[in-house]
Amino acid sequence: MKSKLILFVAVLFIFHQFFISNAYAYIDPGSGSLIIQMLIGTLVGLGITLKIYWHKIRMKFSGFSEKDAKE
Amino acid sequence: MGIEIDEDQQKAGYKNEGLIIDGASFRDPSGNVIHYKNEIYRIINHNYKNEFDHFIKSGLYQKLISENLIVEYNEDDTIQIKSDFDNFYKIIKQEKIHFISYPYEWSFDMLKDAALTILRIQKICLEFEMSLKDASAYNIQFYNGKPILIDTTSFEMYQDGPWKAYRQFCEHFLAPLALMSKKDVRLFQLLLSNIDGIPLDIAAEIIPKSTFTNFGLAAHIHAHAKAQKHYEDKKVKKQKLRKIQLLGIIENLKATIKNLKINQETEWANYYNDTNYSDIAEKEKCIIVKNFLKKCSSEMVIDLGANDGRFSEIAAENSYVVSMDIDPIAVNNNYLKYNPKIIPIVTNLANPSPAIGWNNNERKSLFDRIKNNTCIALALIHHLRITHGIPLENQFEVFSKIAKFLIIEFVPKEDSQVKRLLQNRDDVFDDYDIKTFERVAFKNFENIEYLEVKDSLRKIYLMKNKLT
Repeated sequence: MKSKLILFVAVLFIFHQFFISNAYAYIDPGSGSLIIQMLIGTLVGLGITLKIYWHKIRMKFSGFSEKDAKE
Repeated sequence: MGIEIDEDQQKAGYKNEGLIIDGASFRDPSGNVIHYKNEIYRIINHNYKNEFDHFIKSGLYQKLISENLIVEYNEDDTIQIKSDFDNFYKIIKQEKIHFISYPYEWSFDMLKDAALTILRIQKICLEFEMSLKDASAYNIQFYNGKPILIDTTSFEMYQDGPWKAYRQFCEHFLAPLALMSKKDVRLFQLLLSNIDGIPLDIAAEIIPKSTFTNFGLAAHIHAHAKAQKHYEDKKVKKQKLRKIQLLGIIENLKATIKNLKINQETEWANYYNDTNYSDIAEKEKCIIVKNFLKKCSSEMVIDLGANDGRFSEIAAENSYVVSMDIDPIAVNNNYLKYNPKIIPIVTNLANPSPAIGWNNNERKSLFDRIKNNTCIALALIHHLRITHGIPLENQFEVFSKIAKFLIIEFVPKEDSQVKRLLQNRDDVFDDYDIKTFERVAFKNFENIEYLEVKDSLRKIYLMKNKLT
């Protein structure tokens, strides 16, 4: 779906506001590759966090149900 | 600074006669690769001392060795080489790879396994506070049937930040794999014309729009290509990326690559289910080839038209085998058997890999890498003659260039496979008969023995090159 890419590029532009600056460290033409990693890293990091919490929530509930079952 | 390879030095030669610096070893200032007396050495420069020491002392090297992910090295036996250089930190001798192959010769699963090897190494590196500073596909070779890193100076200290080799990884691995998986398996050939990897904007243009729905491909190819274009020539601040985020990217790349698959029918993929051999002829052919191979006792055998490697397996009982075929699916099937003594490669013998790169000397031509070995050419020459239009005379010109011993099968026009090749075309191949075959063959080759394959019209010859 192209909409996913549009969303991606939109987020990219938001990131762009943070990162473009009067930079003192020059990065070669791979700069786009470095920036995209910040974006993917954030999204993937978010995914990992959600996954961990989701897992904890599930464990909590399944824990309860097991406990209930024992009782 | 360390070693400077100037032209005068090359011309003057070194004290050690025959010593040369590898034609591709000039980009990385950390060291150089040396070829000397059929061995491989690596010079480690002073500017790489800290990284190299950490690589060894941290236990990273041992960890990679324990998982067969990097070639072994030792520091013994380098004294003679040292006399030619005077400003270096260390010289090491590396384990030698039997046959150097290149990514544009690899099948889909070879490139995929190579990519997963790089990601595995990068993940281990992070545990040891290091990171791969490059992710070139040319740093991977196939050794004992599996991909292995050959560059011991590819490591740098990890700093909280993005992976510097990420772009190179995507261009050398992800882009070609996505093209092969999502568009056409033959698109690996783009790696030959793009020695630095396939530009992501090209890959993004070619792969179907449906790949936008695949998070990994949307992120690492489509959005990555857009970001490259957008940030081209722009200065950006040094960024921090937490290690957990970097690990997330690596895991995501791994999952994306693992999910890429090929499912394409090709001309030769089912060749052995579609031959005209009877069981008797098939068995007979195996016995003849096995006996002829024993008479050559060659360390390396080149199977010139191997298909999925049936006869390469026979050769691999006593030798290392380079198992070549034009068909990427047949080569892939050959690779998936993971025979540690077989290196399968995709190549068109009518248009073999040329020498490419700077000075035409970075990546060697195929013939440069396979010469002076035993070659087997079974059920091959009729395809070269009829399908590719190469006269027998020209075929033997090439065989005499690359083969010390040649095991070759003659398939006459009366054979049903040849009839099939001729069924829709005029037979303009007047030179294709046993008389011409023997006449041109015996110009440069000495006929050692020939045998008729029972229950077929075919003959197999064992020949020795008169010039070697």
